[in-house]
Amino acid sequence: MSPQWYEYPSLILQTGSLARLRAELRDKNLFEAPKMRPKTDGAKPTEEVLRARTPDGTWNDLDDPMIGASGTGFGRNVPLHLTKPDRRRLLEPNPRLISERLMARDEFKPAGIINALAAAWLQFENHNWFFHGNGLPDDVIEVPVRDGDDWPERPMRIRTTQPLAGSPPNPRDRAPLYANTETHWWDASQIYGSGPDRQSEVRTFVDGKVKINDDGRLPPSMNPDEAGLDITGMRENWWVGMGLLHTLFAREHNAVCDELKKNYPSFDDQRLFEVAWLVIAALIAKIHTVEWTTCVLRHPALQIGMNANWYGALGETFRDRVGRVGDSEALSGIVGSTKDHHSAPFSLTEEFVSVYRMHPLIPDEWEFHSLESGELLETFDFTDIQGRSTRDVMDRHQMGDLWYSFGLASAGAVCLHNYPNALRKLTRIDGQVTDLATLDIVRDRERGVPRYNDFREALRMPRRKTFDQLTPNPTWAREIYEVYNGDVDAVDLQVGMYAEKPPKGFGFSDTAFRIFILMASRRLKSDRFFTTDFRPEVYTKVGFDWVNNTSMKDVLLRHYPELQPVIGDVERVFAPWPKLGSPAPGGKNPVVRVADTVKAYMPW
Amino acid sequence: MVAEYRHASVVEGVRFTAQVGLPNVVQGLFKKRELPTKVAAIAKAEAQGYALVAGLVERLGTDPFYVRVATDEALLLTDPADIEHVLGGSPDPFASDPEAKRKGMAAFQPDALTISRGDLWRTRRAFAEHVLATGAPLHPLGPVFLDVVTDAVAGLVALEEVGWEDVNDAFARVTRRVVLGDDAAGDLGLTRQLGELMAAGNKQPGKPAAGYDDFVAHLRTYVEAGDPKSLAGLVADAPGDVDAAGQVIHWLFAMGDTLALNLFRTLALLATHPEQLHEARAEVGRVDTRDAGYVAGLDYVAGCLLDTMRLWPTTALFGRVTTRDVEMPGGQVVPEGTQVLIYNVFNHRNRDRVPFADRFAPGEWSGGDAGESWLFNFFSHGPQGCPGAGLSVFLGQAFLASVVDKRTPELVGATLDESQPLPYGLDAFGFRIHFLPR
Repeated sequence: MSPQWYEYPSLILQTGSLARLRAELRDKNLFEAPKMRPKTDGAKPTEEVLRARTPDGTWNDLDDPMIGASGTGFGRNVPLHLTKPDRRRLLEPNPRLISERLMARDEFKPAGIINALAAAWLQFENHNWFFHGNGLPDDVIEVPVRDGDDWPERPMRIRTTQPLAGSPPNPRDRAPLYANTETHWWDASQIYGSGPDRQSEVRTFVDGKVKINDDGRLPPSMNPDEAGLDITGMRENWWVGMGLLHTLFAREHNAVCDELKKNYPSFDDQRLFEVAWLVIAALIAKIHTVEWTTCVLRHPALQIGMNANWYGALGETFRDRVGRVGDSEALSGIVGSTKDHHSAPFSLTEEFVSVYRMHPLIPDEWEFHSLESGELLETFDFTDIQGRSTRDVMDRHQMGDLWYSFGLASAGAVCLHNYPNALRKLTRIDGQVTDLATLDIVRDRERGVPRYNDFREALRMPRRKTFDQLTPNPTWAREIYEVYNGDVDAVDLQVGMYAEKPPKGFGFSDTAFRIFILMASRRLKSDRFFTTDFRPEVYTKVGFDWVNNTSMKDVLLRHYPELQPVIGDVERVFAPWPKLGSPAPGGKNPVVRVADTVKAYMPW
Repeated sequence: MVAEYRHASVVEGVRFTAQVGLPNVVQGLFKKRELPTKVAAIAKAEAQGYALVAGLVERLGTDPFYVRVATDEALLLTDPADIEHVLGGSPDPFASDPEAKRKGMAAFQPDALTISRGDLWRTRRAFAEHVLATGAPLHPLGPVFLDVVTDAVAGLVALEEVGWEDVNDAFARVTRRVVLGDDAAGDLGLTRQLGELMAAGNKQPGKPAAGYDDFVAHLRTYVEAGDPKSLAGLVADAPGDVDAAGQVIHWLFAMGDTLALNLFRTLALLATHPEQLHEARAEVGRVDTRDAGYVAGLDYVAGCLLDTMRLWPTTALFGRVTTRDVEMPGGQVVPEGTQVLIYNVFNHRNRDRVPFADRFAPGEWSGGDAGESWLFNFFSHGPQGCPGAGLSVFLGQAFLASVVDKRTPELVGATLDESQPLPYGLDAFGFRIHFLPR
């Protein structure tokens, strides 16, 4: 087998290899089951849907308006015949045992390269992208619990994922089809909601703005079942990290509205709202691509690759000065290029959901510090800053202190024995107690996501033949061997990914990365508003400039200028911030500098 | 102990003189000369001036600093708080008659308000405020002037394509009608006389130029006739013992030359900025533009003119001179007789302070707070702020509303790329406006 992309001896060869990998993935790893979205033959787009995003995600694709809409099915990255759930082994080995023996955090292993803000950001984005729904209380998978386990119920009950309405629950030749309750698009639906009802809840219907209290906080949900939660688009799995980011981007939305109204006094509420929505969605996607990803994946090839995804290989400076160069994605980046779904219509995939299960990013213990004095104000267990407690905690602390504390804290490393124990015994706002580590294993098996070796093979990655090949850590290898009774092919995807040694500088495994490079660019490349319609005529000139000229640091400092002394000189806001009074870590790394200039080399 | 203001180096002073001081003289302080203006545009004098001052600010900080201009050291201001202190303290202790300006203006308007001090200034200011209706939402003769401007626009659009000379001629006629009355409408000789005197002013003679007395006598016939449909008709009721003919010269100069140039450039911007044109039209479309009250309420249209004046200030550099030793807000003392300079080319585009520095942003005036900023001084600010600003903007609103309502302007002979930072200069002799049907 040829070398893996990161094993090539030079950056040029590595980026070239990545480009080939992505092309091959686009060609061979995009599938969808029949009837995953309704047909809408003959419908004609209205002026409204041509110019802006729609609440339910319809009409992004003008040829097939249901592509990417909320309620449509998840696609697949492995061939459908490999997605057949292995019902006989659904609970083999026992997922709770995996949670206890392989996942449970023994001590906090910091990721080092990214902070807790970056951890929260990923969940914020997951809420942008996907949700399978809450299931039904009386349709459950029962997980046996061993004697001596302190789990409060026997057996552990996990709600079955409900198949897409009207689709067969147990097709013979493949896994059931599941629906995404969110829009598949990278459309900031976590802020704006997926669907008109939720969107109406968050809007003021005045000057395009969304609801923000006079004190700059999101208002509380009035639903008694949602005590402690804010009014926003997506409210599942709520905690302080979500409260911060949702508040920040709701405020940013309103700032965009102010700027638009100033420059376009003829715009009515709807027009202001929809343009600001386009801007915020694109801004979030840009921050994710060129700031978050380059921080999580610190390999030099990714510094170039992610900037290239957005700006193109010719670099940001060149792009700003010259604009797009022809219609080449390779030269000018994806954003603003021609829309292309590649080998299947766009949808997010079950495998995409699986590789983004990165709960070890979340620390268990949280320290809140004063931004003014640096002193330690309060310590919390994660359990106490989530769910119903969220608003109380946020009310007790200054937003600046919270941001500072999230910036200071390291995220956890995505590896074995680092799964937050708070998430292994999480009381949800509806009273369900959940072990998310158990759940993560069950979900992959239930939904027909292949186990680790089969998954790798489907991506043309080498199978691991022995447990020693799974991980450089011999203790982990032995533990995995014991849990899986010596059957290396039975190792679950999550376990394999957490055991892997990631490529140099990576915050997660190369296996997860393969799905990532395919889907991250696809989220951009399939979306009309990031490609054909990423232009001033659609975004307005002011909106277009806002996307191009704004960074996460700008957003933070616009709304929380008190952070200036801490992050004013910081290059990467998703890396741990310097302590109050400490200098920022060194300037841009040379590859980032190179990517900013016309000298940057071809990416994939 | 208060730290004294810093000083730019001798070399920086030489560069400042060459790149900021000199181009203003070469282009003509009062009457723009065609050839040098073109040369200056090509040389991007203003861009160099901006870069030089930006570099000085980076090195010396945002506090005022001394920079040598030819043989004297002048204090250059870039912080709006300092500018407010100085312009708020005009004409005393910051008089607005630095030598170059006084010597130049003496050629064609020796009695001008802007170079007056003390009681004389107060009397002349009160006169100007009365006639120009300073601060009023609408000048009492607004409806009359609206018709005058509408006539001019009809004449211009009938030409289908216009250059600077056409617009300048049309506005000279508007100016004669507005200031002096319909009898002066066709008096091209009067305008020619003023032009010659202004050209003489470029040489800073320090005394009335040859022909000044004839010009004033010529002017006085109109002022004394007092056409009630012109500013001359308001002179009789104005307070104070003021020689009106000596005062109206400045209005002829400011309206006929400066406003016309600004409006011509505004058309170039609207021709190349479809969103702004759309907004201007949307605003105009909501009102009856035959009603002067509505025209005066066209805030976005006014913003189009005001932002043009910000982008390309016709007064690139202006100054004050201290009438005694003056203490600044930080405690520093500026000695009597010091020139204090305000460089509009830099301040209006200061990228560290103005988020919309290099783009056409009318909304910042109509919906933002650009109007409150002491950085933008094309009408000056404070007690010596232009008393005719309101009237000038109204005439501009009337002109632009009438054009965009009737035609779509198209820029010919030059390009302005809205996706790029706008250039520091836009040579009026270097482009034409073609009027397309809507």
